[in-house]
Amino acid sequence: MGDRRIRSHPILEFKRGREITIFFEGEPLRAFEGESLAAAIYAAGIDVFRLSPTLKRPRAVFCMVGKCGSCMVRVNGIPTRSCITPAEDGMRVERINDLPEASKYEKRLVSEEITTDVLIVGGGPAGMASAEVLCNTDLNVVLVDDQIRLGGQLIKQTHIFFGSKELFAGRRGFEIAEEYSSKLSKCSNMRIISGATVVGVFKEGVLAVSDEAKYLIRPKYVVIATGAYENHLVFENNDLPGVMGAGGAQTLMNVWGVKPGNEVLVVGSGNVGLIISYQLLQAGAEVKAVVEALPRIGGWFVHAAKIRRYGVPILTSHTILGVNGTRRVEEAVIARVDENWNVVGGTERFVKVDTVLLAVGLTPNTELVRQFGAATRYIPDLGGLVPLKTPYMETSVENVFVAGDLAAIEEATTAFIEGWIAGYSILIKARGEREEYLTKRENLLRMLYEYRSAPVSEKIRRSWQLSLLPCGGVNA
Amino acid sequence: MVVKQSVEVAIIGGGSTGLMTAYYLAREGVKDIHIFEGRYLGFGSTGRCAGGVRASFASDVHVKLMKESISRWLSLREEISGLEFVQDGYLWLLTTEELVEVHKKLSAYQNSLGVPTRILERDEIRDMVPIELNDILAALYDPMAGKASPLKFLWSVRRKLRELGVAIHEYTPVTNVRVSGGRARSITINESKDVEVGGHVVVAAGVWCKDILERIGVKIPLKKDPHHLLVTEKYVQFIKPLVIHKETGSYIVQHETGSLLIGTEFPVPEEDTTLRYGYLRKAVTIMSRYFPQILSTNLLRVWIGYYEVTPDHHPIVGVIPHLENLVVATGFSGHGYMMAPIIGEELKNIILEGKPKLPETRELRLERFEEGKLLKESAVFG
Repeated sequence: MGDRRIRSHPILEFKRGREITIFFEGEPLRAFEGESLAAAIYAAGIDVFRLSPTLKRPRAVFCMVGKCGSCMVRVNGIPTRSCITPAEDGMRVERINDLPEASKYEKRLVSEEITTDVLIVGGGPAGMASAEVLCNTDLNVVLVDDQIRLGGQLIKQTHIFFGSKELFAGRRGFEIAEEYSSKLSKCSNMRIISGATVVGVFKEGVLAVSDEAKYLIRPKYVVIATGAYENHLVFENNDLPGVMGAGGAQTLMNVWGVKPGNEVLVVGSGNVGLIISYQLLQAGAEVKAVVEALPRIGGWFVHAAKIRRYGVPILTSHTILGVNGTRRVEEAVIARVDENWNVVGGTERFVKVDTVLLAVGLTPNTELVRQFGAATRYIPDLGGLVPLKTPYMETSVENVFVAGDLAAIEEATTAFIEGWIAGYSILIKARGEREEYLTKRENLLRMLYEYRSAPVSEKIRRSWQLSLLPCGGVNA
Repeated sequence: MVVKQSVEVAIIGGGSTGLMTAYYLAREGVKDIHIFEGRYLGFGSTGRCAGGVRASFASDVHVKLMKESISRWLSLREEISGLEFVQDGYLWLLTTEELVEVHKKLSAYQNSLGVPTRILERDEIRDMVPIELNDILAALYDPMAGKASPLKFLWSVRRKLRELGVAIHEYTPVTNVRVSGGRARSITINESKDVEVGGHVVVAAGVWCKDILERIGVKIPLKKDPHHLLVTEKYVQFIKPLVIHKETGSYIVQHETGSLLIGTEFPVPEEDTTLRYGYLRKAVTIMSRYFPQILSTNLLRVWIGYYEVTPDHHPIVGVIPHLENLVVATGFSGHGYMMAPIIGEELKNIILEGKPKLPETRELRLERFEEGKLLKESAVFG
């Protein structure tokens, strides 16, 4: 077993907590207090977190954000998603090699009922942007986020944003997340509940649950900013440890300072695939290749040029057929595809890698917005099933707003703009059509329009109209 | 699938009753059977029920029909690959002296009809399930009862019906039945297309039977009674029997898949079926007193499904008066899924033989409400 912690990094400095000891299958492991338990286990060189219940196939981290269940382990006897559980001294962790057991649970959750003007669900760029607009107004705001740290996907983004200054040009995602996190914690009208998942919409209120408490929240206005999931891809042995979402790998590497692997194949050449490849190089890993099924690179030229300079081949018209390995990926099989996406016989190649990262798109996380009863529509260009909304981000359910990736798979920048628009829309509804708010919102709508005139936003431009509700119902 | 101009048998409703009717008809060699479902198979009450199956009732009609149904469940799991029926029993937890007395009498009654229920002492209960006994005085145990995962039922029966050549039309709501000369002549699908029916029309659409039949002037005493249910993620099986907390009407069942389903009495008005947190809190509070393990489980979903309740809590099964080929089966008052096999077979008998085989089925005819001959519990216990 090796130590997968990153010792030195050109950009990131990992602020680790107090050194503690956790026990994995009885063996002591070094960890740092408050870090993701899954990251601590993975850092110690452990490949297999659990076995699948039926076929007993090895499983390990995939998404790193509590969505997939691959990292489920028993912690002090309780089945737990280790990626979103902070490590504590003395934790006893065991593999689950069957279905998990429902075990006796002594802890009693604290119950709290909260009446508030605004509930924001999700502390990523969109949710934080709405919170920023509402900060220090006379509306009470509760922001609920299910992760250990606020910031959504920003906390793992180390690349520099382009564009204009008001849209964070020259800044890195994790710096923006830190700044917002600190700014929002100082808002006098805001309560931030981290580590809690909003699980249900009931007649009596919206239910959020953490390890410590359950909250029944009664809001007048809601902003749903629940983001998206990473897509998986079908190929042989795609569940083998070492196959990870690119976002999951980014969390391991850029948030917790743990190297996902040493020799990596990246699948997908969109911006996520290109950026993760560069970040892997920064973390000291070798990127064997980026494969892309389309005949051209999906992401921005600058990102592609950067990794090419380091000699990473970007293989267009190539796909992954499978991976081999016993406890972990040992090699990947790739091949050329023709213009109809059919594999060209005889072009199969084996690539020796220990890690395969999937950067093959995202799916909007619409469960909650659908629980609110909002109308949705399947629009492939926007990422799949998405809520319908007015230009002001209000859904078909009055006073329920959306912003960010769940509305359409886009970027942090557009998520911010949508979050601001939703924030102003709530101010306008709650406090009347003040000139100041209306002007700001109009400017933001213009900014969003301009941002989407770039070539990479072609799909959004093409299909955005399909997701629009007439704005007659909105008080604006 | 494009629907033909005319069909032999039209079954309205893709729930357990409709599917079982199609199955028994097809097994007898009947051709050209079509199931019409407004949404998808199991959308109504079947896909939302807990999947409990028992014969331990308090009326002769229920006990006798359910004994027959259980014997069908046992053969169906041999006949239909993937269909699950596990005879792990029912356990009623009794928390007052009065309840214990009532259930002693109930057990004696059930024993007299061949249902081998018995009263368990506290120690015997603990041998059966990993339970915190708390205020439990005793339990009634029914070893003949069991559970059948509704999801596995839907998938396996769908596959079987496809093999048997039954046509299933989903997202095809039946909006009207046209009748003339004492017969149902055709059905209207998607509010536009008429499909002629050569043989029988079976109305097995749960609570929605009322709407369809009222359009042709047939009054049917049916009330929608919404009930909540929740499902957790999958866990190693630790509760085998379906366990009911009698005093509060709460229950828990863990299917072979590992999922736990927990229900409780939590009345909500028919016109507002928004999910209630009060239900969730009540169900979990009560059941976790006895099974604290459930506090470590992850909740997946909460939903509402309907019981379709009649004034005497017994179903309505039979030919609609003065319409010789229009057959109805509804009003199961929360027991439609467990009764589906025997009712499906009896509907087959009605269609092929002109009458049901069992005298108990004959008592379920619609006319009993007009005639004031409501079915009664066979004995009043307590």
